[in-house]
Amino acid sequence: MCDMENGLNYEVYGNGEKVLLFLHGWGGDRRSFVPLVNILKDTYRCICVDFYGHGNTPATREYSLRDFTESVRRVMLDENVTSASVVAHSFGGRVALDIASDPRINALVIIDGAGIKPRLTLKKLARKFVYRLKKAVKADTSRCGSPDYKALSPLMKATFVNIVNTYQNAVLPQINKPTLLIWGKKDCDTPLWMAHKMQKGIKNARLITLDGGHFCYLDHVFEVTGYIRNFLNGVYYGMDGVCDMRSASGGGGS
Amino acid sequence: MNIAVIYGGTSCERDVSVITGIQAMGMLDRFKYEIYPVHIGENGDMRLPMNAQSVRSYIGEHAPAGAPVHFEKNELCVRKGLKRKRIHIDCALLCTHGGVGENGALQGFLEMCGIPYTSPGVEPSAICMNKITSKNVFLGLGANVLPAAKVVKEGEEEAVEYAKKCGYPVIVKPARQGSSIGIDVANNAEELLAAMSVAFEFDDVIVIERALRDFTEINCACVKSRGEIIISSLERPVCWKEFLTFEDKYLSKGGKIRASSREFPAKISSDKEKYIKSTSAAVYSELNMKGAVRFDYLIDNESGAVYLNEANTIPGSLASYLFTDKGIDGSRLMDIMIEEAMAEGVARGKTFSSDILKAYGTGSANACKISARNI
Repeated sequence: MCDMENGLNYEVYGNGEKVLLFLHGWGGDRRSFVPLVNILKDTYRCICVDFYGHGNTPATREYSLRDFTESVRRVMLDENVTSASVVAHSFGGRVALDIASDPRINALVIIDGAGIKPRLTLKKLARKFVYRLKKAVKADTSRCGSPDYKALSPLMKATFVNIVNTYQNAVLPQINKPTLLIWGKKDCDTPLWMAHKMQKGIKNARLITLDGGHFCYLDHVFEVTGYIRNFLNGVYYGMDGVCDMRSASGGGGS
Repeated sequence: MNIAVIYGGTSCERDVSVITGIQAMGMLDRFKYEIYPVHIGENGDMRLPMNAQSVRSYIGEHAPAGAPVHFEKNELCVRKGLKRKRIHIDCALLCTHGGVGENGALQGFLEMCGIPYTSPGVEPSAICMNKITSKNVFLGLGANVLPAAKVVKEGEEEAVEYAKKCGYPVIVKPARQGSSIGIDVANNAEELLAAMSVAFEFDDVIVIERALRDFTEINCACVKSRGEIIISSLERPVCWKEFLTFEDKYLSKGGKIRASSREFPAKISSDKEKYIKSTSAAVYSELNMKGAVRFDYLIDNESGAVYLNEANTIPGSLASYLFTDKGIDGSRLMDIMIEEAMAEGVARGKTFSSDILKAYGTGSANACKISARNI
C-alpha cells in the first residue's frame, strides 16, 4: 500500500463512517495499536500509519516535525478523509498537537504524549556536562545519548534531534479541539506532570490516569477503548448539555 | 447524573444477567454518569456490591458482599453499618433477564417509585414474557408466527393429541422462561411426556409447537432514539447443532457470551430482510416499546416462510453487538437508552379532583352516581 515515493505506509481496518487516525510512538509502527484497533474497528474506520523510518516506511532524508504532520495530512487526502479523530501515543502526540489545527480533525486522544519541554534534572545536567567535557577533549562521544537515540541510523539520528528539540508548550492554548489525555501514573518517559501541564494548557482537555507506565494502554485495553468510545460519542453526538460534567480521574472500579 | 444499574434477579438467568450488568457498567461513561450497581439476589434482596465490575465478586455462596439497599421514591437508600445514605436516582438501567426483572414487575415497581428505566414498559414486558400471549399479540399485529398449543398441568393427554395432529417432531418450551432453559425437542409420544415433565419444572404453563426440521435463526434488534426507531442489521448465529441448549448458548468456550460464531450482517434475500425489519419495527412501535429489544425469527428453509419467534425486551448484552455496523457502539447505545428513558420520564396518569368524597361524607347515599355524572 506504499504510495508514491515519500508517502507513508498505512493500513485501514473496519469500514465505519467515523475515522480514527492512529499515530504511534517513537520506535513503534502501525501495529502498536492493534489491540485497540481490533476492538474499535467494529464502529470506526481505523487508519494506522507507519511514520518515516518506522515499520515499512523508509527514511530518505532528514525530517522535521512539520514533515511528519504533512505526511499524515497526505494520508488523509489519499483516503478521502473529511473528518477524523486522532489517537496518538508518545511521539505521535507531538504530531497530534501539530495537526490539531487542521479543520478536518474533530478531537484528540493523546496517550502518554510527548511535546512538553522536559524539566532539567540533576541527572540530565550531569550527562550534559559529561558530553560537553568529552567533546571539548575530543574523546569518543558515541556512548552518550539515550538508548532511543543510539539505536537509530545516522539519518534518523538527525531527525530525532530535530524532533526532541521541538517544544510545543506554546501550541497548547491554540488547540480548541476536545482532547482526552490518558496517562500512566508511573510513566518515566513522559511523566505525569506533563499531562497536568497539557490539561492546563488545552482548553477542552480531560485527563484520565491509569495504573502503569508509558505503555499503560496495552495493560488496560478494554478500559481505554471504553474511555475513547465514550469520549468520542460525546464529541460526535454531544450529550454534555444534558448531563452535568464532573472532573473524574478515572482508574475504574466503583 | 446518577444511574442505577439493576441486574441479577431471581430467575435462572441470573448469572447471564450479572454478565450483562458488568458489560453495561463498562460501557457507561464515567464522566457523565455516577454508577450505582444494584444487584438483586436469589431471594430478592437488593445490594450495592463491592467491586461490582469484577466477575469474581459474584462467585460463591453468599456473593456478592455489599451494603443492603432499597428504593424510597426515587432515592436509593444505602445502609452501611450505622450510616445511612440517600442517593437521588435519575435513571435505572435494567440488565435483568427473565423472571420478575423482565416480566414487568420490576418495571412497575420503578414506575411506582418514579424512576425512569431503560427497558420497555410494564405492558410490552408482560406480553413478550409469555410465549402464548406474545404469539397471539404478534398474530394480531399481522406478524407470521408458528401455531402453538398451551398446555397446563394435567393437560398432557391433550398435548399428545395435539402433537399427533400437527406431526412430530414438536418443540416443548416453558411459557415464561428465556435463554432456551427447559426447552426440548420430542420425536415421539414418550419423549414428549419426558420433555413436558422437564418443562413443568420451570413453569406451570408450557407451550408446544411444531418444530421446523430445517431452519435458519435470524436476530434483529430495535432501539428508539429521539423518537425514531433504529433497526439493526440482521444477525445469524451460525454455530448450530440440531438445537441451541443453554450450555451452547452461554457456557461454551469458557463461559464467553457470543462464543458461538455468527454471520453479521446475515446474508439472506432482500425481501426476507425487508419483511423482518418492517415486522420488527411494527411490533416495536405498536407495543409502544423503548430501549433495546431483540426480535428472534425463524426461517423455514423448506417453505421459505419467516416466523417471528419471540421478542426479548431485555436481551443479552443489551443487543449492543447488533448495532455496531450502524456506527453505534455499546457506549452510544447506553447513552441512547438513557436519553430516551429520561425524555419519556415516568408515565403519570392525569390527576383530577372530584367531590365524591365530600358528597359521601355528607351522607348522600348515591354519591358515586351523582358525582359521576358531573365528572
